[in-house]
Amino acid sequence: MPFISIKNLVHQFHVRDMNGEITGEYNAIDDISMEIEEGQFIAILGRNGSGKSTLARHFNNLLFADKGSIWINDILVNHENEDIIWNNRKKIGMVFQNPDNQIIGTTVEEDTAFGPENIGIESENIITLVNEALEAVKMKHKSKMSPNHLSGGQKQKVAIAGILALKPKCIVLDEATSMLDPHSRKELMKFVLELNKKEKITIIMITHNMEEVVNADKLFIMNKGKLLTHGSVNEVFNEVETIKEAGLEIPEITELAIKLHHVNQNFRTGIFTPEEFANEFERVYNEKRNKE
Amino acid sequence: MFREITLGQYYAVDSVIHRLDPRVKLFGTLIYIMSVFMAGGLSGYLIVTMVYMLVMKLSKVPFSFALRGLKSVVWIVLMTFICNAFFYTGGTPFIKYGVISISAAGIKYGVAMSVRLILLVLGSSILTLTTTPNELTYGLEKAFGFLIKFHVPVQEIALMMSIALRFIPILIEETDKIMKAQASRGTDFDTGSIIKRVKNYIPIIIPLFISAFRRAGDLALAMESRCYRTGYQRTKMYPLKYTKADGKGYLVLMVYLLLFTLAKCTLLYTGNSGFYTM
Repeated sequence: MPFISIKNLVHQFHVRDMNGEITGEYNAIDDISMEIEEGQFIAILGRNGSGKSTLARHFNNLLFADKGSIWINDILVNHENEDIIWNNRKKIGMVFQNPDNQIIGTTVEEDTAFGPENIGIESENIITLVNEALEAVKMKHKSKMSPNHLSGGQKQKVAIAGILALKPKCIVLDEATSMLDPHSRKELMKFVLELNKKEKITIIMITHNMEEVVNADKLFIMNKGKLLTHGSVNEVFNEVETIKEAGLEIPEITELAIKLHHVNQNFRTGIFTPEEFANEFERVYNEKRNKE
Repeated sequence: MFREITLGQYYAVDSVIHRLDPRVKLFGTLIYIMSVFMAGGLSGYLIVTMVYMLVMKLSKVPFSFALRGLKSVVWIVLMTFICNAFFYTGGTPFIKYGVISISAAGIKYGVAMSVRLILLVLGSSILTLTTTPNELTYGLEKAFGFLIKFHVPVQEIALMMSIALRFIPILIEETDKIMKAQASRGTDFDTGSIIKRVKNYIPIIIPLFISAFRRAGDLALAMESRCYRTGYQRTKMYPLKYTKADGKGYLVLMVYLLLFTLAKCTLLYTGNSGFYTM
């Protein structure tokens, strides 16, 4: 049984004219089906307006399907049944793009406690949960600080701590790294990967940066509300044309490897780092020299 | 640089007053204000001033730091003094020119009013000097908790206050950014008539509002995704708990109020005017 299962999901937005009259509608999500297993690292890729953020909000029950259905832990999401919704939001946390606009508390500690406070956990238990969560993101030493004094990367870590304090099964990162500098971005990605491997938390990463997804178990590529392709990183990255159609760019080193593969079938594809490329190049070169 | 702005005027130091429950301090401020209004005459003002000095000593806040709070009210104090001193009609004026009449009684009354105002400001600033904005918000939430029975959304209002506190520095920074952006497009904030200058602020206020609404939308989503719902009893990580010191605090305040009222009533009864009249 899959952890999250989406069947023929459609989400419609109304198109309005200048006077606010509805003149039509378009499908932000157009007939998407996918299955996500527990403990997986999932990446959903697409350019601006591809519907990936709209999809992310369905995981967290912030939006509801116009057509089709979403099953979480084999329970159908029904917008009329509040118990299911609150239970799902407890299980599936969401990190948003703008670090400033998702921190509610006036201190790091208070913000981390916001979730547990909302679901009515007792004070002593909140303190334990908050301390554990802040230790996990290595922000314990800043617990009394105001979030205004933190860097973007640190704020995103606090946002993750706020979710961890609810003991979630899954974290959805909705372009959570897009406002960070390259260094903080790498660090956050490393941390998220650790969460996935050590704590077995399912990660759903929404992004348009293909370099961030090389560690994912499964990729989904979206364009104009539709699912273009999906599969393992290696499978998807080889579909250069599909990726280009989606308006995305694969890492240069990967593309170069694919091109070399077309020249020499011996050169393998699915190369994501310069180190891998250098090793593969050396291997092919040595092989060729040995033959001669 | 705008991130460094400290909200309110909290002075971080550990003292008996700092450790008191915010509800005790709120109650204390109320009682102090009452006593300042009851006081009159030299002896009365001396007593309330001494009480203020004593609490300041206990709070370990340097007096010079507390005085900074007076800066914002200096004009109001001055106006109060001028109004009372120049337009007091009770006493025998030694200068009279049109509506202006200056008399010894008027000046005395003006001084008294100014002192009263200064004491009110200084007295209530002890609350904000020794209590963080968060504690204060939570204290208010608890103190007015009984209003929930009358369907006042006390918890929600308190959360709104604390979110406002969190976003003030962010919005100040944003204003600064927008001002620089508009200045680089040629908006002039410093010259022209008052009306023109006010008009020049419109291109700042509109983008600021739009961005604030956008932030509010984002924040609402983030809150909902973290299980926030209205009308649901939330818990607190650090709930307010009264300690023995708080009990003593209440006791001291009650005794102070009682003694003060008693003294006032006795003096009223015996007709000793020095304490309560001018």
